[in-house]
Amino acid sequence: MSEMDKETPFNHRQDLRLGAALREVLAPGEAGPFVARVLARYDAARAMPRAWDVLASWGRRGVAVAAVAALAAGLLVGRVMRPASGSIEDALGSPSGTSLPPSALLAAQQPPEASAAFASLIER
Amino acid sequence: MSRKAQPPDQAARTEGGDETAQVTRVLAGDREAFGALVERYQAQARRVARAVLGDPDEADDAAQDAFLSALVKLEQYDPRRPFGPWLMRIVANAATDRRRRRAVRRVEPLDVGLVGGGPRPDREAERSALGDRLRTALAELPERRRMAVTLFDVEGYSHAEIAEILGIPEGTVRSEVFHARRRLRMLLADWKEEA
Repeated sequence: MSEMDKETPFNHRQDLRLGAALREVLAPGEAGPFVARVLARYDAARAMPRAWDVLASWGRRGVAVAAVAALAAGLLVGRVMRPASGSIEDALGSPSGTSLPPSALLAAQQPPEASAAFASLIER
Repeated sequence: MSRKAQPPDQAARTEGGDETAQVTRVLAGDREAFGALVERYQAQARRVARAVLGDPDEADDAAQDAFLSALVKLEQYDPRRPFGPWLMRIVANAATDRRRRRAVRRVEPLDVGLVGGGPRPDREAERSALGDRLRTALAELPERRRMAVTLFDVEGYSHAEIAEILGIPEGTVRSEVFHARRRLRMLLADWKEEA
């Protein structure tokens, strides 16, 4: 080999003879069939749904099911926690003295005076 | 880095602007652009894979995997940088992964078309024998050394580019190329003397 005597690790030139010999040894087959095989795999990969799309469709269904389940659970819990009987009037208690009872305040056509509403609460 | 003498495939990777446009088209889902990119780099990718794997069919499988892997990763490619080294890194990884997956190391089969058949002219026989010898010598080198010398002397990449492809320091690339060349030349010199 002609460049053997001047070979050092700092030699940045290609050895064209060695390169040509290696190129021949490593020579691949025809390009056409290889490219066709790669493109066939490309087509197959594009025809398949993408993993993220599949997961997204599962996710959408999952969110819908979870929303329905949460609603049903909320209704169920609400039903269980609700007091057996009673009204707002019971909750506020019976009025005493001269002020109006709370039911009267709620049923009135006109909004009550603020002082009357406060009085009914303070008297409790 | 000097690149005075470029192998024929080097012309393909110097068309930077054209290549960037092609990559953009591939990203947009252009099948023909992908085909053109594969056509442009197939020989180089298959040679590099063969330098790692030895067996041409296995090398082709690795190169195919690499092209499809590159397609998936194409959004990560920086168009300001040359496409060749980026692709060759994927090819080298695909070939190395495939070799690691091989349960049993197989001896590289000899090319039946070269060793078999009837009598052939002396010159052709000599070339064939040289090829066999070189193939065996290449197979005896450590994998990284094989890749380094192939990328440098066959594909014309610079030391810096090979360092990027193989993920090793540039000085190590120089050393690998140096030792690979020395070994290959020694084996070839022996063969010439025997002949």
